[in-house]
Amino acid sequence: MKANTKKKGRAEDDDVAKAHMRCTAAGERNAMTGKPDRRGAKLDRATQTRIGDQLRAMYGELLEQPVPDRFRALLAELDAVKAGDGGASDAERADSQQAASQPGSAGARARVDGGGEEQEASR
Amino acid sequence: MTIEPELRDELLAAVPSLRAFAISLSGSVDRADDLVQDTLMRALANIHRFQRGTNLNAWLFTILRNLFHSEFRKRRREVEDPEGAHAARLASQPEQLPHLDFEDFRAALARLPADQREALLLVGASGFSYEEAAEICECAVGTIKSRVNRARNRLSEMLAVGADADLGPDDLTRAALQAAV
Repeated sequence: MKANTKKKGRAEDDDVAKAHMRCTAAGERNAMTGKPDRRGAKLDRATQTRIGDQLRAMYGELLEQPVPDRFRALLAELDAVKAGDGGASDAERADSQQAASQPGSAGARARVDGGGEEQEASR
Repeated sequence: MTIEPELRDELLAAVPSLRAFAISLSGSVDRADDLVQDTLMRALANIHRFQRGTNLNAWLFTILRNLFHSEFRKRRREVEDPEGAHAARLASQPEQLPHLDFEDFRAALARLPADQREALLLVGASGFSYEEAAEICECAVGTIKSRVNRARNRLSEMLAVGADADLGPDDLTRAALQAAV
């Protein structure tokens, strides 16, 4: 590993190449039976179907898992961030309408003072 | 950052398939969820690069795959002797997964080389075409086809052996460890 860190640029490629070689080498012989790998052999249709079915069944089970709350929260948070950024959120629109309806220094300040939006909205 | 509600809904709708792919790829729910979260964050940070009307899922899968591989390479550099240990850990962690069904299948899948596993997952499970999978993996269509074929052949061997010799997961793990040394 020390040799690899010296030439860092190529280290990654080497790692990938080595990993691939290892995988290939491991595949030459079946790990459990010691029988030669029949990678070139074409699978019969029944076997292909069986593998495909199992794969989809396993995957289907994963697809049906409920979406963890953290992802809903993450995407919902974006809306909050957007509102804070001064985008065209409902809160801000309501705020500026309010400001327009009562002309004066308070409304003008609300539009200039971007950092005070939350305070304005909470009034 | 501007994100329209429709796009946010599309992102949320993509989460189950991203998770399924990430779990199958990494063999760990926790790692998968971190990957999905990083994928969403990166997608949002680069959302201006996404061309509306093109395949959002394919774009997200590309991001997730790149994150997975760069993380894998990073771990490889940081940890000594990670290669075989990683495969063995993948094969021996079914308890982390939400269900124990398809345990043999999962174990066999985990022992495939990463490039074959991802090709098979994209084409055989996630519903991408060979062309889309080639774009996601940044390789030729023919490469994807041969990886999928090799993955199927390898799986059929491992699963046939498992059925014949009635090997339990412990034997599978031991075999994976031996193969890795």
